Amino acid sequence: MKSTIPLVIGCFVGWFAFGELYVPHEDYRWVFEFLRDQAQILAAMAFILGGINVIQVNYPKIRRREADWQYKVVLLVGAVAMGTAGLRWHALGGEADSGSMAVSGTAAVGTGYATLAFDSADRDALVIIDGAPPVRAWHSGNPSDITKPPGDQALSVQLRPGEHVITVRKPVEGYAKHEVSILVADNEPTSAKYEILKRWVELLPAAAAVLPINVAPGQVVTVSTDLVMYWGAGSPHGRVFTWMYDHIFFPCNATMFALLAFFIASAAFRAFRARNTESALLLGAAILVMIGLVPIGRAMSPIFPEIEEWIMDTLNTTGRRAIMMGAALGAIATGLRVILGIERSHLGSD
Amino acid sequence: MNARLKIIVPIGVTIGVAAIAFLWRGNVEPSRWFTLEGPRAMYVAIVAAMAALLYYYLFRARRGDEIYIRRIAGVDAIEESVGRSTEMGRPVLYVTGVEDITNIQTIASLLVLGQVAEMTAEYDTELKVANFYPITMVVAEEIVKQGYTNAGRPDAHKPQNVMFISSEQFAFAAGVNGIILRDQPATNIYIGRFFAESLILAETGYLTKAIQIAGTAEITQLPFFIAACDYTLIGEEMYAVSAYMTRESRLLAMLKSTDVIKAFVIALLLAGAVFATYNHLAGSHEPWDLGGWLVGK
Amino acid sequence: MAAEQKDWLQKLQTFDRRWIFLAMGVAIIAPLFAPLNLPVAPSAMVKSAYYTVEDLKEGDRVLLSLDMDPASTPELEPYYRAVLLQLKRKKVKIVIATTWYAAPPLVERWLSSTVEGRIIKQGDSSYHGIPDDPYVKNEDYVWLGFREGREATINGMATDIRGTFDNQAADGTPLDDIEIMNGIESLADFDLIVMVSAGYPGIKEYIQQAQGRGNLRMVGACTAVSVPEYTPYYNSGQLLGLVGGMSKAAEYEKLVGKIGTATQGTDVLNLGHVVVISAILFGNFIFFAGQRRRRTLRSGKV
Repeated sequence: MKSTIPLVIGCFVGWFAFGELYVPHEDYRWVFEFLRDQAQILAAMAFILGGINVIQVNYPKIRRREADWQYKVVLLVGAVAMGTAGLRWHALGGEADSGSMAVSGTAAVGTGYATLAFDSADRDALVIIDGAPPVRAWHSGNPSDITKPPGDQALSVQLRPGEHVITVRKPVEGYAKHEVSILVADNEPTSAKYEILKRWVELLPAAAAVLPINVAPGQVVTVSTDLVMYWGAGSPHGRVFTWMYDHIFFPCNATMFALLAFFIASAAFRAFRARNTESALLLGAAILVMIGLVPIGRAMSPIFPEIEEWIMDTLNTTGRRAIMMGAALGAIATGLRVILGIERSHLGSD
Repeated sequence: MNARLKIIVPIGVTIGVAAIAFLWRGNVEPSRWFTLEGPRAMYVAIVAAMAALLYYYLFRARRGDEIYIRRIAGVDAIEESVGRSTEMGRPVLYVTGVEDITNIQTIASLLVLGQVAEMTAEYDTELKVANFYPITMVVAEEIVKQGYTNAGRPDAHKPQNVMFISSEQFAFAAGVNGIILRDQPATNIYIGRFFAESLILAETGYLTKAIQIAGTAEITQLPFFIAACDYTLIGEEMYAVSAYMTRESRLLAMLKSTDVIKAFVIALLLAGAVFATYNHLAGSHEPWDLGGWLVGK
Repeated sequence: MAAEQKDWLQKLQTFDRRWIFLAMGVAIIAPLFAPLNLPVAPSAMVKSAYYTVEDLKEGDRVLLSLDMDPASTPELEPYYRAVLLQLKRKKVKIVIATTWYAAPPLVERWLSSTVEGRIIKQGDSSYHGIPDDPYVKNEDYVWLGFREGREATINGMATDIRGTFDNQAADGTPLDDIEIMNGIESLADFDLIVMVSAGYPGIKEYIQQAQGRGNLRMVGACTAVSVPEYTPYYNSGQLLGLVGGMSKAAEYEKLVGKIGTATQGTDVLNLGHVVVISAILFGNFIFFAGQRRRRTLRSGKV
């Protein structure tokens, strides 16, 4: 009974999956997709088991101070740190606003421009006005030179009539952006209109960041920002997560892959020896293909790339197709063995 | 059973099943509940032929006929290398590949793991299993436990030896390298689906003078395993391991049925090559599409 | 003399492979100081990929699938930059997605620097073609984000791309509000699919899951090790072009007209290959010298 029930389940589900190709009915497909979604959820839950296993395997080795126990400390600290950085801490209790806007001043006759002022709590904030290259929100004379460190002067620009899109962001990823839209009117509003505008901004601060703020020429619109630092692994990525990705994960990943260059050389030195006819052919083909693939081979003779193409297109493709077909039939047989209940080594002996 | 029947019956079964599916293919009206459009009929033919042949070879195996399998050096080496590990007092490392449980190569790897676990239990050698996905780890642990139980050594099983390393490719490679360099296994078995980390694992294993047996159907990684490992199981040899090791009649019958289908595929390839060559030499501008005709286009 | 020769041979037979590592290290570093600048001649597959993209018209919509991780950036990023420059100067609308979980942080950085920024910086005298303009998010390009599911995701994109990405872009903007996505229901609605693929899932899965549903136009870039696997798809016409590895990416850069890291890295490839070939020849020299010595000893001659 202990092995019969799993066998029956395996057979039934296996044939059900096989049938998906032949039964176009949407209800059948729905069941299939439901089972597939559940499998994905199960796989995701299994990561919790995996995390526990990592701790179960490594913590006793740290406690007993086994060989190279220090690396296991690095492993566990890294796992916990990355897991902590992957949680969206900034969104606990709701996401904070990254800034606000306020309009002030009376309209002056005939100026034609409104003034855009910045009051950013982030000294290193960059401002992008209408898709132009970024400028510094705090500068020491030349806001366009973002290679220089921030200064003490707050950015102030003139906006001609029309709609303008302003983005304030940090120079690095992982922080909120503050995007606003400002519509500078062609004519000056009456003071009554200004009162309505001001009340509107005060009543709807969140909407003010979405809808264009109407500004009259001569008025000053002040953009205040306090860009929230994001946490978390999902899009948008958190600052800490991005830093660890850029400075730890990326270099380590690339380094491990780079080892292959050295290992290929040492494996070739060891393995490509002309012990018999077949290995001599293998070694000859390897050398010809390597020479033909790189410009240095073409520089030596134009025949090398042609030989390389012929070896890859004719000899190599033939062999690969043969292996692929054999492997495909073997895969069908293995699947059939499990579906038909012939293979039972995963269940226990009879 | 006389020699002529031994050849005629499998050919007849295969042709018969394939013919039924082939004739069926244009004549079944697709409905909401069933369709044989496109190459589906051919798929059914292959699977049905395989199943029919399976039962034929099972019948022969149970009658006592010997079913021949050619020697696969890599599989023979598994037992020898487990013995070597026992003599040296060093563990056996088994890596199940870098794909999840839904991949057929991982399933094949886990099936072989069961046999290897029984062997290591009998020889009283430590077995360490490195897994890329947690769910593979869970299944592998059950299989290893069962293997030890089958060998009558349930007490010798250590659950902590079946490990989840990491689901990140190069972190996994780094973790397994660490196990190889620290625990110095005398035998490394890599069976499953591998990608770029294959050469990293194999070269590190070479450093520790371990015997390395690899098996994968991943064509891009076969050259690296062949260069760096002592034995390599190429493609379908990996799927044949459990049949080869256990010599169970059911598994051998499945292997034989696959071989017969393969023979038919070879015959089709030859026919197609001859046909295409003839078309080319005859200067035909609209050659008949043999492949399309077979799948009902 | 015989004793010295024997010692010499014994030393060679116990040759420490770290010398090979050192030689490879020198081969990698040396071109950074002394570039070889060997000519690069585009091959047929690369030209085919280039001209397929050149056939696009202004306003065409392209899916750019970036299925890669940091490890594969040296081989794939050069192609990405080159093809993106080509797409931007043709003013094509781009929809970007990925099926690899490690890709999004990488992709988002690239979006801000190469898609929303300029690939050709002002004052770049090495480039003589049409420069690119910054693209505006959700107007000129859409970033759909990452979806787990691998082949299932690609299968979903092939039938219902909106449903696969929950009808929203990665920043939460509903796809119905994005003009680029008007009329895009599945992969077949794109004018071209450009795949930058480091492995699985990637080019093969797109072809297996999506190509059969409607003769999609596809070009791809892959790592060099995968080229033999995908070449049959190019030969059969399922892929209209294939750029495999750094050397082919250098050829693509030449066609696009913007020299990048692939062209600079080709020198490293050249010398690296020379080291590997030298290692093979050296290994065979040791092998045959050892065999000759054994034959000599067996025959009794000194």
